[in-house]
Amino acid sequence: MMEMVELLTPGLLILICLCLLGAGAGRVALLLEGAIEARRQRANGTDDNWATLLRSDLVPAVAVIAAPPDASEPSRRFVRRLLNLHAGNPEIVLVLDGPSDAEMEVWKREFHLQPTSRLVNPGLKTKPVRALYVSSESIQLVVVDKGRGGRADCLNTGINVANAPVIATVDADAQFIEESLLRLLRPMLADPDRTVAVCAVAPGASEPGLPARFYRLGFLRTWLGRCAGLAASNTFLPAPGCFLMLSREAVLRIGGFQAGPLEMVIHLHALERAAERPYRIVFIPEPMSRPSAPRQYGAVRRAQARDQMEVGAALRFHKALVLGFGSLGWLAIPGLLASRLLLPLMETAGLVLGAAAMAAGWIAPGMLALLVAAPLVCEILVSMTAVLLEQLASEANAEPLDVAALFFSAIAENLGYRQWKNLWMVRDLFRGYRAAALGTK
Amino acid sequence: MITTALKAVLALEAVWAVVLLVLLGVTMAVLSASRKRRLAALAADPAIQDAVALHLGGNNDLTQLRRLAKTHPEAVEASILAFQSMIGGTTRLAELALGLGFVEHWCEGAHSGNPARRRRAFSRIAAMAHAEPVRRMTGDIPVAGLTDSDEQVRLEAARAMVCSEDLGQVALVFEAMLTDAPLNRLLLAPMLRRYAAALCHTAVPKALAELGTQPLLNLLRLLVSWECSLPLLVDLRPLAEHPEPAVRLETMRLLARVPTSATSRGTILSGMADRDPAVVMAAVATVGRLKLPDAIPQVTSCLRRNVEGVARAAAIVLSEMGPEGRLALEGQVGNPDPIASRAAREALELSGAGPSAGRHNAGPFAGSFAGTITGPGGRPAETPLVGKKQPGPVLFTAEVSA
Repeated sequence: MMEMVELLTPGLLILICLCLLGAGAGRVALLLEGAIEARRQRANGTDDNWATLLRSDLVPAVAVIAAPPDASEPSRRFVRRLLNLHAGNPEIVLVLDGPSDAEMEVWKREFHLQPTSRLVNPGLKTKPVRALYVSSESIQLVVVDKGRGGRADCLNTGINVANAPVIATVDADAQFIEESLLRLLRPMLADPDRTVAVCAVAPGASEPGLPARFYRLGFLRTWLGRCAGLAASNTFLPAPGCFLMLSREAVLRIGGFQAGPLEMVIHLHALERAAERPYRIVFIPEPMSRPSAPRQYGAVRRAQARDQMEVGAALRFHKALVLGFGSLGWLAIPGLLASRLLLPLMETAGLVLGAAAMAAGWIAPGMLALLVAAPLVCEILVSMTAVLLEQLASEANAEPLDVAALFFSAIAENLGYRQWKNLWMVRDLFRGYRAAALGTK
Repeated sequence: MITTALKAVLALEAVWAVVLLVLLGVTMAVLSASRKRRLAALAADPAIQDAVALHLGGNNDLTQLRRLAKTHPEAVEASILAFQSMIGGTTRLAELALGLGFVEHWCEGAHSGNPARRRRAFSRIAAMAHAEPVRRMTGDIPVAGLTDSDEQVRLEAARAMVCSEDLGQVALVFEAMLTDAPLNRLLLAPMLRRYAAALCHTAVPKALAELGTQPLLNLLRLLVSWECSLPLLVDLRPLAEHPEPAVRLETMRLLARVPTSATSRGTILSGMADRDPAVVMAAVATVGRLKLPDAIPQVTSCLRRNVEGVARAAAIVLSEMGPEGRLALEGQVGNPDPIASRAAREALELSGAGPSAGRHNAGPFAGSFAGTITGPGGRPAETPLVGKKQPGPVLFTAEVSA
């Protein structure tokens, strides 16, 4: 038995090494495609006519749905920032998920809320709405007090309350510009029949410190790969910090949100493809909305855990899509599964198995070093490539020294941090998966 | 063999690393150069703005501006355009752009094979097209741009032509936009609105008579979107009987904008008997907008048509038609048809006349419903709106499909 294990272990390690190298090559190809796509999108960007759009009565009403987790100062600031968004007919629908009396008081004080009677469309099934409020200030704000049901339930309630034909939502910690709505509306107005969603996200500003750089490297790979790379084959999947705009009709057609924006976009892709309808989900790689830039390891950990849990939830709902619906099932979903679960598992298993094999004398140290070094260097080079491709994809206005610092921090990222991150990536994905499974019961 | 293969992989990775290092060097050099240019332009910006402001103030000496335009052409061009957008229709800035050779440069750009350069050129031409000297220089370039393959170029060309205030050119833009991309129609519609009266006497009747279904639909939506009274003296009955329901629907909406006559009243009343509920709703909304008291019996019969959306639209219109309408509505509260009675009750509540008006509890949400009220274009909304601006786009399909 031991002889069999001794024989198989080197072979298994070689197989893992080859898989990791293959995945690295595939990711470089996707990053390159993403950079080209992002550059193409930017070239197609037009001189802005927002002033006209802003004035035009023809611009559809947009409802921005916000579901802040609490009544803290950052949450209130987030809602204030939403109220500053420019658009012809904007409305902010603030959905409070089972707030306590104290939290409700804070919101009432902050926005001078008054109860209102407004009819709610029962289009999507949600937890019961307890009360509706509007602000006595001259702002288009509707506040919904509802029973606790989670983020997806909040978004669905917001859709029921909002009347606009276009729905938008953004992460509470995203940094977005005031013209975001108008810019997002543009592709929707250009091709209203086919455009079911528009999403904008771009890497955040460079921050000093290794944790911030590690987060940025991870985000760059996601942005160029998951967003821009997949957008080239109309299988775009959103990244954290995105500003997502959706056709209300399309959202109602698929029965609303089950988890976060990622799940929603996958669902939209799947449904439109199943119905064989011509459709498009537009990705705008411009810096209209950016994820917040965490500076501490703890904050980086939390931000990545949130994303990983969202991926877990999305995979829970759409695992059946693997190997179906063309590039969605053959590229996007398997890619997501591989990058967020299989590769971290393989890397970890490879390291543990390699160490055990060397200790048992089943593999020569030189051979093991080669087996570990080849994929490790490949990962470093993938990250470095992403740093340079970002410059190709975006406006060349970064600080040269920041680019160099980020470029070389790819080495540090892969020497310890990445291996440690792999462990909790797997854990967080399963947490998200489990939470989604429990939520549906 | 595996060891050799892995060594080869590492060697390949080493080559890749060297390439990346070279590319990093190039990127840093490019970024440094771009940073220097940005900083230089930023440093020259106050001097450029001062020079442009002095020129606007009456200084005709272009020596300094010529010198600045030579070293920082983009910054000077941007400054002229920024002043232009701030102070509007002055020809002095246009003459400055001509004097510094920018307009000539834009004319060259308008013939470029690169769409991005063409867009940029046309956008600048459009910004200065109000000035006669610039129009003389650009000649037929905007007219040619109207048939460009690039959507943005067509839009900018159309903007340039509308700025000329030449009714012939405006009519050309109007005709072209009826078959252009939806976004271009949306952006140009407000610009054409000021020529609405003139177009209603010339291009609109011709287009109404000649166009196929889709451009006709675009035209009707455009006319409705202008949201103003239109001196359109055309019999719209044939359009109200068009086989395409969307055309009939938009015709009903348009009837709220044209001078009311016996014929148009008859057309609206016939619209309320249409087989398509959306058309009926539009006709009902038009009645509400025009406040036609003699149509109250027909609106009341719409309330009883057993179609939920139509019933709500009719109920809300009746609630807005004064005592007579409200009386008719109250008469329907006890109607055995549950749809009619509920719509009547809800409309009375919304208008403040109902027994539970102004409720603030969870009542409306439990077993809630989608009500229908009329929008600014006399358009019935798909979902209820209380105290809120209506979604307005008539060019937005998602809503049109209501």
